[in-house]
Parts: sequence; structure tokens; C-alpha cells
Amino acid sequence: MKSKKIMALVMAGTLAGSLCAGLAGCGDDSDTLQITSLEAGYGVQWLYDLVEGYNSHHPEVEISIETAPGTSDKQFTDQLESGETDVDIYFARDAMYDYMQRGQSVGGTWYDCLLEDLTDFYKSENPYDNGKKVVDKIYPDILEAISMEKDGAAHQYTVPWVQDALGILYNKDIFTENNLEVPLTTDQLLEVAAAAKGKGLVPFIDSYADTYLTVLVEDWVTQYEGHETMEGFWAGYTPSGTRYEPEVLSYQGILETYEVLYQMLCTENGYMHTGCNELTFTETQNYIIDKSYKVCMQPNGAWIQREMEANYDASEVNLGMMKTPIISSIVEKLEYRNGTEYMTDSMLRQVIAAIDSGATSYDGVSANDFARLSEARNTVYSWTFGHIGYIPVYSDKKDVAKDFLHYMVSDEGQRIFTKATYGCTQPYEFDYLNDAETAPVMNDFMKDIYKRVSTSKLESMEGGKDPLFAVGGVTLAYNWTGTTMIQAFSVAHNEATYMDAETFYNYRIQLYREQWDTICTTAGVKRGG
Amino acid sequence: MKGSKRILALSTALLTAASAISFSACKEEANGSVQIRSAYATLKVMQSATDFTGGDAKIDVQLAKGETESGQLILTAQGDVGSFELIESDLQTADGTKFGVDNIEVNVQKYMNVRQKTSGNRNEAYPTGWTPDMLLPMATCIEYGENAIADGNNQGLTVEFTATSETKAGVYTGSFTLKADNETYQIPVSVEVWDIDISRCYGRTWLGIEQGQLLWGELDNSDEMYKTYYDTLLNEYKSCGGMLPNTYDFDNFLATLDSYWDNPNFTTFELPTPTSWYTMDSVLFDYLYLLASNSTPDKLYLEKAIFYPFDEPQVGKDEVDDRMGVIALQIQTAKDQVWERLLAEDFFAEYEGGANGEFAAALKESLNVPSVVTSPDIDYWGDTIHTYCPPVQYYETAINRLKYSEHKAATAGGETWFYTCMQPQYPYPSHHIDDYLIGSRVMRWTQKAYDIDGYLYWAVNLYSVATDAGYSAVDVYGEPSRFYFGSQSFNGDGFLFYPGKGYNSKTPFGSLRLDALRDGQEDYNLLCTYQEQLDRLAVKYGMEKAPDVDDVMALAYGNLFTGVYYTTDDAVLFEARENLAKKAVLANKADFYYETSAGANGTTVAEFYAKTGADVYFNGEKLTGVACGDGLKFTKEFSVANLDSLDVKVVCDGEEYTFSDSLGESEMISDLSTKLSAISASEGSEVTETADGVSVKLVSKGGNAQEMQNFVPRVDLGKDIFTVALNELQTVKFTIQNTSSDDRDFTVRIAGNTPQTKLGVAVDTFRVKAGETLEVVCTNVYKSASSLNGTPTMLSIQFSNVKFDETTNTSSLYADATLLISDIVYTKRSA
Repeated sequence: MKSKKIMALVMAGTLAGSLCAGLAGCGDDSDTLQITSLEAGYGVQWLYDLVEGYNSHHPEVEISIETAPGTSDKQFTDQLESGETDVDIYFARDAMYDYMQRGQSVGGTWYDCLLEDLTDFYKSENPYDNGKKVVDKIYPDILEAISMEKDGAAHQYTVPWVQDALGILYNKDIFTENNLEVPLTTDQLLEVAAAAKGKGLVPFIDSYADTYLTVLVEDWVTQYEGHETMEGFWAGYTPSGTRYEPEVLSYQGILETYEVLYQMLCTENGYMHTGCNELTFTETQNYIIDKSYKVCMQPNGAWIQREMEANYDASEVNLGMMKTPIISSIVEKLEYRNGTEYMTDSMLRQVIAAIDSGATSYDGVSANDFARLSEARNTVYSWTFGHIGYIPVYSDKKDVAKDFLHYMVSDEGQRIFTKATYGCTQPYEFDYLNDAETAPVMNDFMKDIYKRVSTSKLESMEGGKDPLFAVGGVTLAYNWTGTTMIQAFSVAHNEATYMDAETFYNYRIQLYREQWDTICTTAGVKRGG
Repeated sequence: MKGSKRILALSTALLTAASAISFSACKEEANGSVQIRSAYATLKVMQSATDFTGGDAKIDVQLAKGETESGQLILTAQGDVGSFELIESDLQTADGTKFGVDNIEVNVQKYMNVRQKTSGNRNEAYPTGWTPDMLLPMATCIEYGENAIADGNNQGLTVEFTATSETKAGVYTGSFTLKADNETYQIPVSVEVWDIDISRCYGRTWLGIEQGQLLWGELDNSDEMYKTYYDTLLNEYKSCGGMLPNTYDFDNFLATLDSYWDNPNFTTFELPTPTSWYTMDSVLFDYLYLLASNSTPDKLYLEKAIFYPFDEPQVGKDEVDDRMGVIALQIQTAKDQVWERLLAEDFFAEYEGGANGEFAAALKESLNVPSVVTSPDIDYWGDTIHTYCPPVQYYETAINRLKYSEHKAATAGGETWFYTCMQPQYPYPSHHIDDYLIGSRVMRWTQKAYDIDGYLYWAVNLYSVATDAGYSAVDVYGEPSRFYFGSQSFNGDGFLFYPGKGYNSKTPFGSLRLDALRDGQEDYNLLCTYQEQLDRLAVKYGMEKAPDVDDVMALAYGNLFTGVYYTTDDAVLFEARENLAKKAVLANKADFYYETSAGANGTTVAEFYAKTGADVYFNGEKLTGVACGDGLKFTKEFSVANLDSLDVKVVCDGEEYTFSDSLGESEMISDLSTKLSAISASEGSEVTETADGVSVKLVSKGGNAQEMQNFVPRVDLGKDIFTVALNELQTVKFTIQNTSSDDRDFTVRIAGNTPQTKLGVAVDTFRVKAGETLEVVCTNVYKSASSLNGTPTMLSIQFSNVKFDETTNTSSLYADATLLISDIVYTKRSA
């Protein structure tokens, strides 16, 4: 909760400079299309290149670009809400679900939604794509993720600008030189970590202040529980089938995930880099790229490609993004038994290897189990639905803005994007691997990632649309208050915040239980459903 | 980032008052008439509401001395109405005593376009649309030409009647004239003034007046304007505006305080705190010492003081933890230093007993100034916070109320407070525009019931839009949604006043919501005044213990609220008010009180107390009194089976007083020995019969973590335990004895037999401590049964399976426990 006391006398000084009363937004009156983008991992060169490409079609359109550093979208939404902006397109990192569901008065004018409704944009023929409609081109998973149901129909308010993919990066050279296997299961992941440590390497790195460990939580819980169960979770259902009760956080997969993360983070094992508390995220990226730091693995995203290309020679870097190892305890969810025993991890690895090689079955493994494991193996965490562009509803250049976005998602636009980002892709159908312009700029790292995301089920995770999460603030991976997972696991046993996996699991449930009535009231949901 | 064009348009905002009104009547052509209906003052009628029934076209108000109470008329235009006016006139009793127009104010309700629901508010009674809030005096409305009504629209009129201490009790009648274009209507008016004076305010209030925001709304944020708001809030709305005017004028602070000290509404003022808690700042010491050293035995200045040093401290943040600790230490240090200095100066020498005398003890006690922190997190902060002020919903459960009251009892000078703001939302009480008015009024009844000392509201004058981005201009008369938390908005949060500037008024205008807040305070004053009467009568009649108004009003409380959920039936509130007032009047005029208890053979015994010379009639029968203390006692034994109500008449000093109480339903006892088969327990637990009830061996269950968290050790009392249906249960009481070594929290729920209903709907949550016995009282059980999404089949007592120890950060299964459940008593809901 933010502080309610207002330093009122200070505000008096801002009075004269912040008034737009009676005006419908505060758009400027120039003819320039104003675009603003966050400058984060993927950089902004792609935007400049897209503008150049667009201007080759429309030299008469003036476009101005501003970039904002940092990873917070708050500065953008502050502008959006205040109306003190002349920006026509924001490229941001926020799914904007909450803004899709409510309106606001800006400058004395009421808007049902501060984001321009782009449903027609998606359904209309793209003049830059031979009339193909965006709705037919965008990956179905992503379309579903960005859509919001209103009045019984799906509406879209945002346009994804990158196909995001996150997972565990690994330094291939270090792995090769030290005979480390790319792990297929979490047990194997920890074995590799132990082996790496024994060789004087640093198994993992992360920036705790800007952690991506939450990616692994999402992945492993989803693997363990399965997509169907997770759909129930994201709709607020508990394992016992009730709805909007605090036991929604009691799924066994959450504890199983914490068990793995505990082993990764605990001080006794010493698998995490000693600088995780102090290093910034950018610094940690350099540690995984540069093998002289001897860091083996890091949870990270595909944007690191740009970091590599910009700062290192191709011969100096050799990263890969492994498929997230399957959580070993998934064997408890399978039908398979050897007598009374679950499938061994060794066998599990063999099955996974078979899946990776394209097999459709495995001797001794039921079709259900094989399908279950295949689903787990081919799930990828993606924040694509959060890397989006949107148009403020009060923009006075909406038509031009939409036309620019049409260009961005066209084949031509996709080529420009991929070349500018050293091989990153966008979530629209396109033959990246065979296109004469995009294939050459995609190194093995990016090709692997592309193959993964184009063939996997993209999991829409944190920040789900259900009001319990979107408004109530319930999260799968981290707490809004209290002790965090990192604070619990990564400290010595005598630290005040220390907790093991099961204790932390129970702690989170207790934490939410105490606040549950308030959470439900804030979310506008009825306890019990 | 480039800025946009900006226009100094504040005056524009102020002059868009008309935007709040949705009408298109053309005065020259209008010739409409109006349908006139009455409504409870607590009922908000939307401009386009067509489902409003209302009462006859009259005004009927009851109030105590020293109270303001409103009547409401709803005019519905039948054709465009170009102008309307309600003209008040003097009222008088049968003997000619006047209730003059000076004590009557006609206000026109102004409507705001609520375009989206408050985030989290599911109140469908107030959907989006034009909703009344601001109250504009009739004369001002006419002056500004805002007294028209478009065809089909409703127009609410709020008529306020104020009785002073000098107003004679009685029934004043007359009629007001309503003109609507060419039509004239006479509106009968009746105002009954009860013979009980509630001029004095009880409890504490802190309502924030933001001085800077006055510039946005009044174009004037001077100290004088602040004082205007402060005085208006205090004198007209019986609420204390946080800091006194000119608080930081230290040299004149005492004089300022003295100017308010004897105001009967003045209960609370905030002492300033350091701007930085990490530097030695003498402000704490200076103000404490000033007030302490100027106190006398008759005037302990610090008794009305509070600190409000921190707002909503976030848990789990090291820097906040640190700061909270520093705050607590600094305040305590300042208090100690003041006391030491007083001793060093021999301050008490001239007072009886000196430093060991009564005055010294009282002054030292008064130094324990409550330090109010808006936080519910008592399990986290513990004693770091002196006085907890959680949002009102945290008083919903018995277990929470126990935690806060235990902390209060263990803290020198400790109090309990509550607050509302953007949270909570309906169905909890709120001041949101798209919500009921009755909730915020009933909230003050719960304040009395739960022994809560103070109420806090963060701002009464947010005259701009406040988002994370900062502040921006707003139509102060037309924009309901001004406070945003992230992307969530809350209609009406942060403002209860409207600026006077737009209508050339030197004082701000109130609102329906501010009226409800005032009315709630006055209801609270009535309850407290009656309690004072009961305390006096206890002495008079030599009672061991003074009756508790909460017990006297228990039936009414049960009708008004459950936990902090409130009734939406306005009639229930006003019936409760009238019942309370009549009893208070009887206590005041006839020293009258009564109570009932169970008699032999299923009868009820009523004992009435009254002053010597009074005659008491019970259901028409004159009773015979015997001497009791300094008065009389009358006893009557009867069977409730033959009676619908308890009707009492008292004749005293030539006056006749009457009231009627619902008898409620008899308590029924569940004979568990014959109902054992209807009691079951969760897997592994056992239920066995005892002499008094049942013994439950409550067993926790292991398994994987998910299984442990989802397993619920429980005892289910099947519906056959009761002779009435679960959805007819009013109150269920039972005793539970915990023989184990763990404190056990449990939730009583109404549940069903399907997977979806097995958990059920909560009635209340309690804590029975290790080795102790608890009398559990569950009220309005039928409500939980009615809201179950299925067939209720049991009253379930549910415990946690997993124990989390926050001091050691460990979790484990609860050890098996033996619990003894007995004395199950219940009542049926009255028809």
C-alpha cells in the first residue's frame, strides 16, 4: 500500500504546470508520429530500422523516436494516466491487462479504456502483407494471451513486438571443455552443478535484485502440474476444486519446485555465484558470456544475443539456451511403476532424450506418460504478451500509428527486426530459417531458440488475467510482502529469514491465508467462487 | 519527454459545476410536475433509478437533543421541470413550542457520473451512472439556476434538522411548501425530539484535511482556509480534522488548543512528529512538555492527543523495520524525558500528594499518548506498534478482534482504531460513492460493539486527481474518481467535501457521505450516552456490575451487522435507533432499565428498575415494585411462547414512556447425547460422548505438502443437531475446551456435502488457547447458510492442519489435540 499522506504544500508548486482540465487528452498538434520505447535487453535499433523502412514507403510521415532506459513501465503508464504526453505508440514491457479492464478520466475527459482498441487492426487486411490479416498471422497462443474478453467478444489492445523466450543459458565452451552434460532433468542439473563446482567452476549466476529465477518457478510448476491443471490454477482453483481460496497456492508442484531451487540457492551447496546479491543484471550477463568468469549457467532470455553481438567477437562467445530440464519429481505424476517404484531419473532422461530426437513413443512408457513428458519438455516460458506496443486512446495520430504497426508485423518488418536484433524473431508466422535475409543473421543460438518457441506451447504465466492475480496481487512465484524465496533459501541457517523449501511453502500459504479476505475483496471475487 | 500544451484551467474546473448535473430542461418551456416520495436518509437514489418505491410524500424524522438528522424527499419529474424549490417553515408542538427554520436546512443533492465501478466493488445496487453525493443548499441552487429536473429524472432533497441541548423534547409538526414550476405541494413534516442529550462526542476521530489540496479546490490554501475546513468538520460534522489549525505555530499552540478544548465535539488532535526520525529533533519533546507542563488536574491536555507517525508500513522491508523501531524508541524517549523534567522541576509540588499524588499519576498516564499506525499486521509488528489502526475489515473475525484487544490491554495508553480508504470495498463498509450510505453509519455501531476507540479517514478534500504520476486538475464538482492505486480507481476516495469557491461560498459544501459519517458518530454518541446512564443506574440500584449497552442492544446488533458486514435494510437501522433512544430516554428520565434471564421450567424472568414513584406496566399489566437501592425493582416471570413482544410503559413525573422489544426466540439446547450420530469428524479423528457433550480427538494428517495443506481437521455438527434448519439459525453458542498444548485457531463454517461446498462459508474465526476454555458465539449463522452455493448440511468447526511458527520460521503438523465441545445452545431467527 502506498503512503496516503500527501506533501500538499509541495504540490501547490506543481499546480500551474500540470493542468489539462477540460481537454480531451493533451496530444500535441504537430504532424509527427511520436514513438517511445523502453531500451532494455533487445535494444532499440530495431525501432530505428523499422522507421527507416516505413519511411521508404511513406517519406511524408515524420516520425520521432524517444527511448527511455530502465526496465520499469511505470514511467509510461504515469504519462498515459496523466495525459501529459504526445506519444502515439509506446513499446513497453507490461501486459497492460489491468488497463484493458478499466477506464479513467484524463484531462477532464472520460475514456472507457486508455488503450486504443486494436481489434479491427488485427482483423483488417495488412496492406504491407498482401492483405493478410494479422489475426491469421500471429501465433495462436500469443493471440489468446493478449486478448481480453469484453461484452462476450475477444478484444485486443496491444501488439507484441518480439517473440520472447526465457530459460537457462549455458556457456557451451565451459560445458564442452569440462565434459559437462546438458542436463535433461533437475536431478541431473544439480549433478552437473556439483560436478562443475568440483572443477572449480561457478555453476549458477543470477542478480538477486533483478532475478530471473522466477522463470524456473513458472517452468517447473507447469511441468509438474501440467497445462490443464495450470489453467485451473490461473483461474483461481485449488487442488481440491474449490475456487478463490488460499489453498490455490498449495499445489504440490510449487513445493517440488522450491525443493529444486533450494538446492540451487542454499549456502551449503555453494552453487550460486557469491556476487549474486551485489551484481546487477547486466553484469551477470557478462559473467555468463565471458568464460573467463567460469560461470556455467544463468536463467536469462533471448535478448542476450544482442548483448553478445554488441560487445564480443563471435569467436569469443558460445552460449546456448537449454530446454529447461524436466523436474525430476514429475515421475510421481506418471502412471509408470516398476513394482512400487517410480520411474528412475536415469530412465526419465532416456525418455526425454527420445522426445528430443523426435520419437513419438518409448518402450515401457504409456502413451499418457509419453504425452505428459512431451508436453513438459515442449513448454517454454515467454513474456511475449508483455513485450508489446500500444496506442493511447487519445492519440490524434491513431491511423498513422496503426499503419506503422501493420508495417512492423509484415514480412518486410519482420526481416528488419530480425536483422537489427541479431536474430531475434517476432510471434508472427514467417519462415525465418529459410528466408534469404533472416537465416544468415541467425546464429545457432537464435536458431535453437526460434525452433523451440515455434514448436512449443507458450505458457502465459505470471500476471494472469483472472482478477485474483491481476488485481488481487496473488502470484505464483514471489510474494508481494514478507520473506521472498531468495531471502529464505540463500542465507545461512541462523539468519532470521532462513527457511527450507517446505517451510517456505507453508509460510507462503500462511501469509496469504491471513490476507485472503482482503485479497478477495480487492480482486472483486467471492471466496469459494 | 515533451510536455503538452497546458492551460491554467483551474478556474475552468471550478466553473464546470454544471457538468455534474445531467439535465436538459429548458426553463422557458418546462411545465412539469413531480412525483414526490420519501426515503430514509441512508438510502441513496440514483438519478435514473426507476425501481425505487419510496414512502408517502412527507418528512418524518426522529432525533436526540444535540443531534442533526435528515429526512429525504425524492422528486421524480413528470415532464421537464424548469425550477423547483422546497420552502421550509417553522414547526411547532401542540403547546406551541417552535422548532424554527434556523435549525432546518434544505439541501439539493447533486449527481456525479460514475463511469466505472470502484475497483473490487461488487455492489450491483449502485451501478455506473449518475449518483448523488454533493449537498448544495437550496438557496444556492436557485441562485445558480441549478434547480431544474429533466423529465424522468429523480432529484433528491436532503432536509437536515438540528436539535440543540436547549430544544425541548416533543413532536414538532408543520408543513413545507414544494414548488415545481406551476405546481405547489404541501409536504407534512414531523420531527420528534427525544428527551436525551447527546451533544457530547465520544470516541476519537482523525480526518485528514490536506492544506495543499485546498489550493486546487478553493484557490486558497491559507491557514485561514484550513481553519474554515477544520471548524466546519468539527462543528457541523462532529469530526476532528487531524492537526489543529496552525499546529506548527508553537508559541500559540496552547491558545489554539484551548480555543477548542471545551467544544463538545473535540476529542482528538494530532501532535507533530519529526520530519526525519533519524536526526534528533526536539519537536516531540517540545509539544509533549508544553502540554504536560500546562496541564492541571481538571485539564489533562494530553488526554486528547495522538501521534500518527507512520502510514501503512510495508512489512518485510528492512528499512521500514528499522524506521518503525526508531519511531517507537524516539516517542518513548520523548515521553520519558518529559516526565523526568517535570520531576526535576518539582512540577507536582503544589499538588496534593506531590509526585506520588493522584494528579501526578494521571498526568503520567496521559503521557502514554497513543501512537496510531495504520496497519493490520499485528503478527508482524507486535509491540513495535503502540496503537493499531487496521482497515475495518480486520475486525471481521473474533480472532482478530481478540488480538487487537489483547494488545490494547497490554499497552499503556493503548487504543484500537480502524480506518477506511480505497479499501475495503463493498460488502465491507466504505465511503465510496457507488456504495451504500448505511454501511458507514452502521460501522460506528460496530465500533461500539467491538470497543474500538477511534476512526481514521485519510483525506476529506482531495481536489485533484492523484495517481502514481502525481496530481492533476480535475472537475471538482463532477469527477468521482480521483484516487488511483496503480491502475485501480476508487470513486469518492479522498474527498467528502466540495469546495465553496465554485458557488462563492466561504465554507465548503458537504455530501451525503459526510452526513452519513456524522450520523454514525451521533449514533455512537447515543450508545455511549446510554452506557453512561447504565453506569449511573448500576450505582443507584446497587448492582454488582453495570449493564453493558452491547448486551442490551445484542438483538439489534445482530440485525444490524455480522462481523463488520452490515445490513442494507435502512428500516432495521432506524428501528434500532428508535429502540435505543427510547431506552436511553427512559434511563434519563425515569432511571429505568430492564433485563431478562432464564427462569425455571422454560420461563423467562424480566426485572425492571425505575425511580421511586414510577409506575411500570408490562404488556398492559401494572407491576408492583419493591425497594432496590435508591429506587424500585419490578419482577415478572412469563413464557415467551405466548408473547410476540415485550411491551413496556413507564409513567413517571407525569410523563408516559413506552417501548417495545422483540423477545427473540428462546435458546434451545442441543442434547448431544441423543445426537451423537449427527456428529462426525475428519479422517483419523474420533468423537466420543462425555457427560457434558463430546470429546474430540482431533488428528492432523500427513502426506505430501499439498495433501497436508488441503487436509482440514474438522468436527462437523450435522444439521440434525438442531431442531431448526441451518438457514434459520440466528445464534449458535458452544463451549470448547482445548486440553492440548497448542493454541488452536478454528473457523466455524456452514458447509455441504459436495466437493464444491465441503469447505463451506465462514461464520467466524476464533482462537482457543492451550489449556483454556472458550465460549464461542456465532451470530447470524443463517446468513452463511444462505450464501452457500449448495445445500447446507452441517455446521463445521475447522482447524488448521499445519502450524507455522513465525518466531522460529518453522512449520509442522499440529500435534493431536483433545477438545471438549459442550453446551451447544442456539436460537432460531425471528420471523
